[in-house]
Order: sequence, then structure tokens, then C-alpha cells
Amino acid sequence: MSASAGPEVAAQFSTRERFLTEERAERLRSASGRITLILILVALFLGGWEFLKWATDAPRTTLPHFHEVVDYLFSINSQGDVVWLAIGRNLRLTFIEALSGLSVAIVAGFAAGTLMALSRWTGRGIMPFVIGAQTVPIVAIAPALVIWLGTGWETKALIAGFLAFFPIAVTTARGIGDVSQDSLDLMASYGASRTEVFFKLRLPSAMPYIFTGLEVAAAFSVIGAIVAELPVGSQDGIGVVILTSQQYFSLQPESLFAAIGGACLLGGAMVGMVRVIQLVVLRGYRAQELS
Amino acid sequence: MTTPDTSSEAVQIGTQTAISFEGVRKEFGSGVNATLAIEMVDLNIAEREFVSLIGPSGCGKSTLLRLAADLIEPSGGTVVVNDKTPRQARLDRDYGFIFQAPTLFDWRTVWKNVALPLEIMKISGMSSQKKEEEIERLLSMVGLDGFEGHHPYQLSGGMQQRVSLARALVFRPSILLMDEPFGALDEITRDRMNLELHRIWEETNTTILFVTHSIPEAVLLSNRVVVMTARPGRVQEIIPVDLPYPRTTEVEESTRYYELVTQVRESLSKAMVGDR
Repeated sequence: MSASAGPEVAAQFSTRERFLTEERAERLRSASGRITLILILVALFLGGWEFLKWATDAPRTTLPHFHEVVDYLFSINSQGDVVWLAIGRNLRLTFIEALSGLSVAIVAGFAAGTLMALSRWTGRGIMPFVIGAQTVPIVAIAPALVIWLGTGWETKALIAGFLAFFPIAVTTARGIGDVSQDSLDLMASYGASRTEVFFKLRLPSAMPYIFTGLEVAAAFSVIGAIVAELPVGSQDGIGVVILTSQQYFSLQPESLFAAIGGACLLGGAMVGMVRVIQLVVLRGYRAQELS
Repeated sequence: MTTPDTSSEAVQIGTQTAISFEGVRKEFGSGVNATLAIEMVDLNIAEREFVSLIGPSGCGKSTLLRLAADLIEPSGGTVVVNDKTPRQARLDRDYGFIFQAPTLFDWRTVWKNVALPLEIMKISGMSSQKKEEEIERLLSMVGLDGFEGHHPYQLSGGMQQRVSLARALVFRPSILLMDEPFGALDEITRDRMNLELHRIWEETNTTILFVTHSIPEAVLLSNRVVVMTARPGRVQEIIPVDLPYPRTTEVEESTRYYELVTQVRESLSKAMVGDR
């Protein structure tokens, strides 16, 4: 608290305009700063890659040049397809699997988290299942699930959703439950109903928490979808591309790096998507809550 | 500023009782862990009166306020608010509660924070245009015009508390329950807020029950100062304040004001000794 709050009112009016423009300038500064940072990181990454290759004198079959990977992307594969288009097609399938899984996880995770926060008994009933679900090693049971449910995209979406469920459920429970007693008392003093307390207080104050969980869940859903594609029997998806590339690594090492790059891109795109939605939904929230 | 005497008749205390406590007792917890917060509290607050509650920490000042607000229930005795049970008074939106922390919703703008009670209450006979005018009027009354679109975290502590004051006044409650509302503010802001509050009280027909730690604040603002003893809280003494209105800085410099401050201080130290 500043002690210099003397002629506060008068000062406030005159500083208001400056207040707003400074805020805008600050936002611009942070945006251009972020872009510069990304460019520097990309440069460091490429430099590190080539340096590593030079320093260890690695042959092409261990680590190809970056430009060789890029060249490969524009070549024609054994099926007569342009490589980057083929990878893109597989990525699209994995994306649909991950997104479907994430959507189911959002609904289920939000419902479970809300129940955990608001209803003591139902919450206690659900909690062991949520924790239990998280301790199941997904890599181990994915093959079994594929055997039971088939190799269709639905199975992969299910596994992706399974992984994404936990962070959403936990952050929702935390956010919905974390409101101050004063805020609850305030709502009570207006004679607010439980529904009003939920929609006007608990849900909006939980949104920053939920979006934190959503970001983690978005990344998890991609991991889940890729892991689900690995078991034998899958035909398409970036997971299959990674697996096949690994088998032909000594012949075409670039293909594995291209596939990995594609998977990273997908994960990044998923998280980025959540971030963009967050920027829109959480407009007006405190800046540090958005990070 | 007018001379104190001429406008002293402007403030008329009503004859009706707004809030009454009768043999009120409140225990927190149960069994061996139970603590008695307040005991045998008898207190009547008249309509239109400004009463301060003062006492050592843990004397149950806030407990008393929360009992009147039906945020907690008494373990014994009766609390009556506007001739009703506290619950009915709460559901009828008879009072506005102001907390020590502004308790604003960060995701809402200043304007929308003030509009919150109206959204929940669905007050009949108040058009949306009238509501907007009322919010506008209150925001300018607390000196915040131009800040409608700001979010609470963009404001200073004093400004935030003024938003919370406007929010409590927007549905025109007949009673204001204030729990150390300016306790977290620096002294200069606090002084200004006190004078503003006093002006609002003179302009509106509001009964105010005001919890504070500050003796000068209690004397400056109130018709009566209620001094409470430490745990379990009881009423030690009720000191009437016969200072003229309006309570300006001139009043703060009068001899009578100093006498009253001393009287409250002595009563308070007796209350503290009783604790030992």
C-alpha cells in the first residue's frame, strides 16, 4: 500500500489516460519480446543440431543434416506421395483422435471435478477412481484396449481422453473449491441460490485454474493418441509413421526426424489452440493468471 | 464548509429498533475444543443510528456483525433485524455487508462488480435504465467516474474499497454492516473514506453497525461507541458521542472530541485488564 495516496482522486483522473496507453504499450512490448525469444530459440536449436553433428562427427545414419530432413520432406516416397503431404494426412488423423479424446475429457473431467469440489460424498466416491485411473500405465494397457476395442480411431480417442481427463478433473476441483469465505458470505448476503453462486462466483473464479489443466490435457491428449497408434494393427496416424520410420532408419534416417518433428508440431498446435481460446475467454482476468 | 451547529439537526435518529441482540451467546466448535466467542450481549441499535463496535482482537466484534447478517447462527439468545429473524432480513436484502477486504470479483469490471447485487436480486420495479443510472450515480458519489471499465486489480486498495461501498449501496439496504472496512488502508486514504462514509450516512437513511480497531475513527463516526471485553466478548460500556454534525476535520480538532477519545481509550484498557 502506498503511503503517498494524498490527493488521490485528482491524480487518478489525470493519470487514467496514461494508465491505458501504458498498458497497451506494455502488451506490445511483451508480444514483440516473445517473438524475438522464439526466433532466438529456433536459431539456438538449429545451431545446436549442426554443432552436435559436427562435434561428434555423426554419420547420416545417426544424425542427418537439418537440410537433409527438409529435402526429404519435399521428396516423393515409395507410395508416390509427396512426403510432407503424407505426414500431414497422418497428422490430421492423430489430431482428430486427440481432439475427440480431449473433448470427451473436458466434459467428463469438468463434471468429475465439479462433483469432487461440491459434493463431499460423491467426491469421495469419485476420487479413488480418478487417482486409480492416473496410476494405470497407459503404455501397458493400450495394446489390450486395442485388442478389445479394435484399431479404429475411437479406441485411440478413448486413450487420448483417458490421459487428458486427470489434469482437467483435478484443476476443476481445485478451482471450483478455491473461493474465499468472504466471497461466499457476500453471495449469501444477497440471498444468492446455489446455482447463482456456481455461475457467478465459483465457475468464473475457477477459469484460470481450468485453463492451466486444459493446457496440460491438450499435450497429454496428443501423447495418448500417438501411444495408442503404436500397437501393431494400426494403419495410419503419426504414431504409425514414427514406428515405420524407426524400422527403416538405416535406409532413410531423415524420415524418423521428420515424423518426430511432425508430432512435436501437433503437440504444439494443440497447446497453442488452447492458449488462443484462453486469451479470448479469459479477457479481463488478471494478467499474471494468464502467464 | 458550514459551521457544525447549523446542520446538527440534519441527522435524526429514529425511534424504531433496527437491530437488537438479547442475551446473545456464540460458541465456536464443540466439546473440549469449544471456544466461547461472545456471551450475554444485549444491544439495541436504533434506526438511522451509527454505532461502532470496538474492542481487543478476538472480542467477538465480527462475530456480532455476522450474527446480525445471518452468516452464522447464535448458540443462545435472540437477534432481531428490522423486526424479523436475521435469516428473513437477509433474504429480504435488508442489509449490505462490507468486508475488511474489498472482496471484488477480479474478472468483472468495476461497473459489473457494482451491478452484481442487482443481477442476483432481480429487484422489481427497477428498469434496467434506472439501474444503470443508479450505478453511475453511486460510482461518481464514491469518486470513481471514468473507472467503470477497469478491473479491480488495476485499482488501488482505497479505490477497491470504494467500489465495494458502492456495491453495498446499490440495492439501497436500510442497514450497513461494516467489518473494519478501512482497516487495511493507509491513514490518509482512511481519513478521507471515513468522511465520505459519514457524508453518505447523512445523505441516506441508513443504519450503520461499524466494527473498528481505531478509537479516533469510532468516535469521529458514531452516535454511540460500544466497547467490548476480550474473550468471551461482552459489552463493557456504551459511550454516547455528543459531537456536532457534520463531522468534519474541525470536529476532529475540538476538545470534546479529545475527551471522548480518552474516555473510550480508558474504557478499552479496562476491558483489556478484565481479560487477564
